[in-house]
Amino acid sequence: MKALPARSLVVVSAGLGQPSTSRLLADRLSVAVDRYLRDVGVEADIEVIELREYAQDLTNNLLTGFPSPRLQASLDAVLGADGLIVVTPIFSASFSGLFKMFFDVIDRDGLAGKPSLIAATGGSTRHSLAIDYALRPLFAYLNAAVVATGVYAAAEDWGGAGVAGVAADSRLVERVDRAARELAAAMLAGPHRAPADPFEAPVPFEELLRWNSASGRGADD
Amino acid sequence: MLQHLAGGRVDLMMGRGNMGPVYPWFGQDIRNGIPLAYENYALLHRLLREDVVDWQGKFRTPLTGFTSTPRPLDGVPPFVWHGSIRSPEIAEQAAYYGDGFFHNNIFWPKEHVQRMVALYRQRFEHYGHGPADHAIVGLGGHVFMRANSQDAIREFRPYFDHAPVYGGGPSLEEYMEQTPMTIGSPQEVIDRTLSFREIVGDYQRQLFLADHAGLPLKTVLEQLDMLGELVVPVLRKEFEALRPAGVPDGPPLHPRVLAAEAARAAETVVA
Repeated sequence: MKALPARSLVVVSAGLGQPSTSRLLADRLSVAVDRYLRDVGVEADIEVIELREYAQDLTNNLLTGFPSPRLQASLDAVLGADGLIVVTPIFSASFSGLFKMFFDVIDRDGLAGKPSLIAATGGSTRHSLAIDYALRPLFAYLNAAVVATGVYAAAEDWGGAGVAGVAADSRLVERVDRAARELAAAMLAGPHRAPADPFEAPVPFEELLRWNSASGRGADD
Repeated sequence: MLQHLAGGRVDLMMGRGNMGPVYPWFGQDIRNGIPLAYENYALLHRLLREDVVDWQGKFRTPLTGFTSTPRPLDGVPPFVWHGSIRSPEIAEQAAYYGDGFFHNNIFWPKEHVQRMVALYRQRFEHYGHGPADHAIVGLGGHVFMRANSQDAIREFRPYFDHAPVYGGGPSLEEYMEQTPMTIGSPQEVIDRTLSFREIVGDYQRQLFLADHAGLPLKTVLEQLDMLGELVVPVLRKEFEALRPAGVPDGPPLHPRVLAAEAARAAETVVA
């Protein structure tokens, strides 16, 4: 039997500590996705991007308007991935500033249709809806194909007695597993098609002129 | 008019303006930036070539039987450059008309410059104006020089660190590595500038940004002297020696076009 082509999975973690809770959650998610892909005989190439290592490059990109070569390499990895896992700590009721900076400088159209899993960590479960009111709209704007289950892990999810005899940790395991299964399925559903590169396939000028006279909408609208 | 006063030694460079707040000064909207550039140039292109123009567009009132005066000197329209930092649509426009393409080549990494120019060259050939390496390319470049490169770096660094367009981000060294900015000796400026042709191919025009980062006027004038005395003559010689036969050494400006026409007429007479 012919081996199925490998899938690339890129994990973006905005955790600040080393190790960070966000990275721990990211690893649980990527291991679970990897397991689901292997179950059907698909190899996963996993690359983890720790945004703390790019903090200076991201600031520089905002100021200069272009990424440094090393930041460019990490942006390219995300743009080229078949699947994406993003994890951020929740600060002041939303994703962290560092996390947002990365998605501020990435090509706006580059995530369109990309299977993505959103996840966050925080000190208390009271911030768990940040997944749905902050992260999900951001990735909806970027047109990413975000899977239904987002994973939020609070301090109490990492072990502890839990309620009614069910360990808190096992509920996190369940959510991680469900989200990973959804992402693996989306990644297997078909290769993600990269958006058209205007430099690779330029639109003929006559066509651009026709748009001009027809609709009043520019090519950059 | 300027073309008449200057005896034809005029070329025209067009840029769109890149900030939203600028467009309303002219009653326009930046969301129409590209369509506006297309329409305005399509009209200008005709006005420079046709004595009487009937025209209708979207962004201005129609023209009926309109003649723009004075007519181009000796019937030769000024050579036009389309300047663009990051809009492939403008490179496409330059290629379509067979005009020149100017890339500012400052503030951006060379990979970007390379993509923009490569697109223009490829499309220039596509539209039948000649081979890609005959397309007319201009580049910018930012420089600061002193006889010794250490002195140049030492003197320029405080300006770099505090200039709104440069400061607060990468170090001067990182910035020089990641963009075409060259701070150093005249020889370093020469070497770096010659390396541009390895990135974009043989090109026809080099503009230097010398008045930047808040340098005092006296310093800027010294920079112009050094460019004129130590850098440009060497670059002219070196570029000339490196340029393959057939690749134009400059844009077809008015005096060249006239000379070429005269030569053709003379040949016809002889034949």
